[in-house]
Amino acid sequence: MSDGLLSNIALGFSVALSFDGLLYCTIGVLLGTVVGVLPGLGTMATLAILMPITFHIDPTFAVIMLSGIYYGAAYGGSTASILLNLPGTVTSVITTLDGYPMAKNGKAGQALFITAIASFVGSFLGAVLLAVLTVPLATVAMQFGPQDYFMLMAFGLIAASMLSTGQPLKSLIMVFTGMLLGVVGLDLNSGAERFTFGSPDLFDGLSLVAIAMGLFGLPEIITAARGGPEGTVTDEKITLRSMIPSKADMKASAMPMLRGTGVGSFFGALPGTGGVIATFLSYALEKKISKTPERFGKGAIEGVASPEAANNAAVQTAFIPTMSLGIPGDAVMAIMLGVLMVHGIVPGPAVISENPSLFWGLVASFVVGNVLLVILNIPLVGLWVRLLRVPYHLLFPIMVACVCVGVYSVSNKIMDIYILLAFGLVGLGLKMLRFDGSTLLLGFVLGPMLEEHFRRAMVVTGGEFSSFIERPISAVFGFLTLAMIIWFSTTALLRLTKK
Amino acid sequence: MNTSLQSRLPDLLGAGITLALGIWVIAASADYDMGSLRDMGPGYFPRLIGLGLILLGGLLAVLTLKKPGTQFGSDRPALSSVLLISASLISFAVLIERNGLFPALFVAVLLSTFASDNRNVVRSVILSAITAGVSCVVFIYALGLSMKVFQL
Repeated sequence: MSDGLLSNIALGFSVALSFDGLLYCTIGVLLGTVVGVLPGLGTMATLAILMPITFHIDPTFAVIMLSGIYYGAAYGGSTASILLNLPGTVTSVITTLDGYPMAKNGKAGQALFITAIASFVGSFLGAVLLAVLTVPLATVAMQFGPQDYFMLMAFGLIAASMLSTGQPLKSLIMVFTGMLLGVVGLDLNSGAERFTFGSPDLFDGLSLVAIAMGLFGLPEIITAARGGPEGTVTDEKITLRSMIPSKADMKASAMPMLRGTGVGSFFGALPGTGGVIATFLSYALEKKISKTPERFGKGAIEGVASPEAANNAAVQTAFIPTMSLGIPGDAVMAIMLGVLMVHGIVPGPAVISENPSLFWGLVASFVVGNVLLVILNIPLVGLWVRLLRVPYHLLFPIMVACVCVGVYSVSNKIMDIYILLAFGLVGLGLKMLRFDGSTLLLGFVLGPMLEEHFRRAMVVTGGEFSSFIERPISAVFGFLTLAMIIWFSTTALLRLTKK
Repeated sequence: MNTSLQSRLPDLLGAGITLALGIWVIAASADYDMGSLRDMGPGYFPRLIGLGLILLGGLLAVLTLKKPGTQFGSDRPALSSVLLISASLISFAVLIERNGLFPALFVAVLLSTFASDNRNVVRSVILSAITAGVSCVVFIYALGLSMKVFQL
């Protein structure tokens, strides 16, 4: 086993350290850092906008690059949090709580340094967990029946809506709307057209690219067109010397980093939950166990170290259910799966054994990418600080060009451009009504799988629901799903009656 | 406007749209064969989704009437930006197959630059030409997409 692991790791590094592997990994983490640093340019928007470009390169390198953007943004997001009090990404909101006060106390350099180290520790350990856990999990998943898949996905969707940043009920509505959009096209079992309005362009279903770009890319472009992000950058020069934290600070942040990694790894791997929750919980945990909780919010180094480690660990472990079960835990993972599917790779437990160089190359690229990121974020941090001053209107044309060409190039269908536009307007409406579009995307990707497994389960058992309880895995996730629904409805009811 | 209505409006609107969508789905899937639980037809799952939408939409409406919900999102975009970006995409859709990538991108980017605060026409033209040119090189020559560059 360990022999196999070693040879797999060697295989992974041979992919990740090849010329193309290094190239796409570098492009990914560079872009990710830029996106993360710039507030107002989100990870989801960037991934959605760049996804179609990766359809034209090898799937392994496509996923390596897109993942690089994802975890690079998780690194870079904290820079704007610390220097501007503006989170660059959603997952670095918590970092503003203590990171910005640290910068105001003249410890900006040290905050950035600790952040980079915490991110590295979280990412690295997350990647190790990914390497160790995914294969055994995939082996177990080979035994999964349709009932188990169904319950696992239902759990993921419910968890994603209950724990999303928006209101649970509204997120659940988004899940259902997403599943409805997933129905569009020819029914695989019967060949019947569903919601195609007779248009042959819709026989293959709605394009994931058009929906993702429309919901996340266009609204961001439109709202950011005016003004863009605001805020003044501290003029304080951040030298390498000013970044080295004191021994006491290093010691004070070592355990929080490890605890953060633990919290992040757990919530990252659980379908439906993810980085945002992990950062909130790890911050709360540090505050709770601290002997001096009153320092939190005033520049406590633990309050920076732990959530950053959690965030980055969650990013890595999010790949565990995606790669082993073929079940994406969040909208970003849904995009990763979408990319693999476009390349003809069917997500599921067989992916790793059929494409070992894809999975191990990806894992190895995480390690390579994280080393690159430490280099990018510690000696080169001054560059990113300057980037915060780049006028937004110069980025704008590039984004528009990528959106236009990207959505059209997927299958050279003009219809997709109009679908993109329609979803862009829907996305704006959702933003105004405060509905969370990422759960819609999750529903869109998982919906067809959910239907397929449900149908299969009903065929196998002859319409008996009892098999959902008789199979242990399905029963456990069914129970968890039910418990979550009851918990959230009772707390909502209590809040309603208490006023 | 009445403040109690205003604070309920976004969620009521959301609930209304959800209910309407659910009812429409059930009506539209009446044409699809439902099959039975044991052997589900193409109409089974859509009906379930429609039912779910109606239930959730109704629940949202009831909850919002009991207790006001969320306010409208604060970052409301300017209408002119929305129209310009829409025009930009439509122009790309119209031009790409007829005239090729360069003119399509040039027009699309040019239109979009006016969605920002920028009113400098010369700079917009230069920016659009550069973006369109670089995109042609990247997408057609480097990434090998099969699209024509220019045709009158």
